[in-house]
Amino acid sequence: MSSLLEVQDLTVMYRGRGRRKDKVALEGVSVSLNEGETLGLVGESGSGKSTLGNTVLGLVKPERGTIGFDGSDIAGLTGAARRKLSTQIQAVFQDPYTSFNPHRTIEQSMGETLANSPPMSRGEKRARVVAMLDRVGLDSSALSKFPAQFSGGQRQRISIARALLPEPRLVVCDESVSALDLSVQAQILNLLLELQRERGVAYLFITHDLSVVRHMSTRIAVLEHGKLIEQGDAAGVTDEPSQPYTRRLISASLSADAELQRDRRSTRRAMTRLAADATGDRSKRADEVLRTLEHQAVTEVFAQPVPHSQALALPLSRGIAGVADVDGVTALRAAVLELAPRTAEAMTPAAMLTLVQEARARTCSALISRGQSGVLYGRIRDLAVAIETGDRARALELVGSFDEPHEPSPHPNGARAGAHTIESRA
Amino acid sequence: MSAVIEGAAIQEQSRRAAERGAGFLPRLVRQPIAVACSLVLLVIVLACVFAQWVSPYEPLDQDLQNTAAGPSASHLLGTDQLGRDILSRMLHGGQVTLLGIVQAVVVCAVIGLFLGLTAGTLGGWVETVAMRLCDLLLAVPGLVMLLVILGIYGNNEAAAMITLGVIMAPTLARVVYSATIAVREELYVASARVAGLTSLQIMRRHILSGVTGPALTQISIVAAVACIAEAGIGYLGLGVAPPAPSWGNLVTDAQNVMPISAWMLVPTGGIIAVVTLSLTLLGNGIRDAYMGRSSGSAKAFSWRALAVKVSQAASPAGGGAAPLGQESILSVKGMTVRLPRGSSEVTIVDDVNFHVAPGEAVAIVGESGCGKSMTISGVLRVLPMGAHVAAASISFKGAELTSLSEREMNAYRGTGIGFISQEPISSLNPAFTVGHQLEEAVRLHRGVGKGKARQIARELMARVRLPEPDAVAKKYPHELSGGMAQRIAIARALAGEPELLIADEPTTALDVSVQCEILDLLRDLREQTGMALILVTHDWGVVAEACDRALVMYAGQVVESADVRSIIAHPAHPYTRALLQSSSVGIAPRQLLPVIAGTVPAPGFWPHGCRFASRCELAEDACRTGPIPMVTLDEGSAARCIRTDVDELVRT
Repeated sequence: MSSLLEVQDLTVMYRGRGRRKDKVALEGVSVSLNEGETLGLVGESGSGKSTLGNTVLGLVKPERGTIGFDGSDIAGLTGAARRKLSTQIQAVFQDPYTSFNPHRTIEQSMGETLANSPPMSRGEKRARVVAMLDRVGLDSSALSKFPAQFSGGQRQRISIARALLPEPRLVVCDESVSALDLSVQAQILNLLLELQRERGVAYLFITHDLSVVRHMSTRIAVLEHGKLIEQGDAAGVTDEPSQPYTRRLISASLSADAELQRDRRSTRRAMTRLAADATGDRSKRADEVLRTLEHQAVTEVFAQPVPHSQALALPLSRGIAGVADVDGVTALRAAVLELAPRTAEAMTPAAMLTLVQEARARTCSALISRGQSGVLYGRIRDLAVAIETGDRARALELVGSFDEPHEPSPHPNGARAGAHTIESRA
Repeated sequence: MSAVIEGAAIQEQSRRAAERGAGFLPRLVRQPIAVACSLVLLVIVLACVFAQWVSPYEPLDQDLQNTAAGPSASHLLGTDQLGRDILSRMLHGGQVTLLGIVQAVVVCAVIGLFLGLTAGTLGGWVETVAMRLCDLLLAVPGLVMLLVILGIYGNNEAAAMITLGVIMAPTLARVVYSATIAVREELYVASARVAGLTSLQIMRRHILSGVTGPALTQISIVAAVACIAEAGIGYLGLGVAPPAPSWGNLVTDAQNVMPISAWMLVPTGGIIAVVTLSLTLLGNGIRDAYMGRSSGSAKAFSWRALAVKVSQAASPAGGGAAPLGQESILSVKGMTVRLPRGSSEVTIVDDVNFHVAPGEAVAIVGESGCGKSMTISGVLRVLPMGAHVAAASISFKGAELTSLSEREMNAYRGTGIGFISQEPISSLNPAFTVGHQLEEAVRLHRGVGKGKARQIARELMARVRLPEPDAVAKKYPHELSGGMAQRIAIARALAGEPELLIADEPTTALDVSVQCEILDLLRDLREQTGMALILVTHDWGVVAEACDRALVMYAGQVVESADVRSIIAHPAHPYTRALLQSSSVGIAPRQLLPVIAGTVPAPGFWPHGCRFASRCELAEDACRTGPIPMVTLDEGSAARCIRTDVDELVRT
């Protein structure tokens, strides 16, 4: 598929006035977007994501760099040449309350986007507006009404209708659903997806909401302080982010899962305690961090649409023979954190990671010296089974018992079935 | 997807739009005062323009039989010292005065609009030059300038009025300029540029429509001032030379006959007063019509209507109140909040019951317009003007808040109950440093001296984990990031050592990582102080992170109340379930999300039966016949649904 939008080395400065200094809003950013696909732009406030959208729309002039649209550079276009692009590039802005002139009717506002389309009669224009309104779920009585007569969700539908009226190939959606309630937001997201399927329009989808961007995008670009942090296909960036900033963003976004939130919180707090504890019994604090991380990893696995224990399969397949030495046991136990690598790593600063590794090696050698490494192996194997069978309570019980002395397993049958699963996998 | 148009909501919206949506002129016509003023001005202008035909006498005709006479059948407004008919002289003199007003207004409007619009739309050096020019003109002493011009051109009215127009132009230019830059920043101007309109089209369609109202208001004031100025010039004998009349020199004549007859001052002074007053009132009318405000409704001006009314209602069977034997810090029973609308009232919050145990964190969840913010406003009694709170009981630590006077209530706000809002920066006063505001709150709530207050303020800032408290204390709210400002707001709420903190969407405006820090902070503070928390939010993630129990509100009612973990795992009410499913979590990327069809019915249009019935897939006839009670499910949880048994099946 050909690249529709190709932004290269884009730098944007906001000139300071008087004593205010110039501000670099974007620095050497390159992103690309294919025809009919969605590029999600994420970042916190001040990351430059809206500036990038506005530069593509021609509202902001870049300092340096090119914006290739359909093969030609549109970065420096002004006047009539730029206005002609309005039939190709359109926008849906955030605030449905201020994106319409309150003194003009819906028909007048919507008709604006047809200003540069081939000339058409008044009746023809009205017919196109009505057809588009109908598509977004509003009837022709809307034409003569004023924006104040509609709710936020309805206005955002009208915004979308207005943007798609000249049949553009690219629509910049700048926080288009951020101001809407959850249920209305879902309706608008569905509408955008349906229209994309029908018309093959590409979206540059700007938002601070990670779950929305993950749902909408084919590719995702992450911005921080005007710089591109990482870019790639949506699943890759959100599930296996390569950059610490992206991981931080993902781990900070809240989940509606109360248990998961509690686990993430316990980990955060255990880490805060470890970081604050300069002297004292640091090893004990590090053990605590390790345990909270392991517990969290298991909760994270169950928060995914399909819980899976693949991360455990390889170390388990090395079998019981491998657990005789410290390295083998440590590797096995480390695999537990691999169940949810992005969150565990995201929450662990590099210095602390070393402490956690030390804690793991220490506890594992303690287990070996107590002759309990086989028990740990059994527990981790049972954990894999519990994950595959969706038994969350059992899995959490197991992950909490790694360092406890051996007791007879209350689920001998489960363990056998589990062993079978693992063997067949291996 | 089907149309989202819902009867009730649309009715409500069109009613509101009937006030706001209609064009500028229809709204102006609806104002009696503006219409009356326009008519008065129209009659005076027409009479003056057609004075040759309308006036009973020539302006210079003398009736020496009747000098300085009062009103009579032959001289409706009497005569002056030479027996000239005052009405005729006024009508003919009006031509001079009105022409003067027109000259001044036209000159002022042309210069003012041109400078204001070009400076506002073009920006850059044009803006600088135009605005400095305005400053320069404003520095010129107007009266002196006028007298100098009159001195040079000798009794030339036109020169004087044109000068007046020039002198008044910068004020208009500034009004137009600020209206223009306000509109220029609007999203719809950006939309128009994206739509591919030319600058001229944007100016004509969008900027002019935004500038017209303020400009017309200012121009009506210019006209009124010009009227008085013209009269002043005439009075001083610097305008048209007698015996030719103008409104100004008629006043001079009236002054001269004062010893014989005082009557003549009444019509001559009166006409100037009437025209000036009409112009000013018309200006007000234009402003109101422009702002979409309908003035002249007598109700809005009654002070009694402005006060918040609080009444104690008879106790209904209260579900959701604290179970027997359980202590609660706040207990709300049967609270209803009504807001005035037109001549009647509309219910916003309907018979809400809930309680908060000491140290507990309760979430109030729901979409906008469901009444969650109004519920806490009702408890705190900080409501819009004319609101009415009725409750069987609102008790805080055993004290009955409904029976307290406004002054007694003040003792609880801030001290017993702290509050933080969604917009941390705008909740702080931009004119004072944050340190000052924090100290002020400490002194108010703890009654300590300045030095001690400063010390406590620093401690509070340390408790909300602000880095470098001394540096932050010296900053103004706009210099802080959203997260820092919210920390300050929390510190200020803690100044009164509250036992209950109410937070209205405290993290909605913040970035995700900052949101996490603020929620952690709130949790730590609760653990340290044992403070209870009511958190209003629409975000289930925040609910799961920060709260123990949740109340779900829909269309002014509590529809479900349960422990957070169970409500998220097993929602009992179909609305709660639908709301939880609307989130994209757990749905394959780029697949359609499950949606709740339709919209929340607007207050005043709630159905008699279940308010969610029209959007609910489980609804049956029994749901629509009458109000649905809260049904108690397991311990501590309840839902306003008669089909929770079916829900059980749906869930599994």
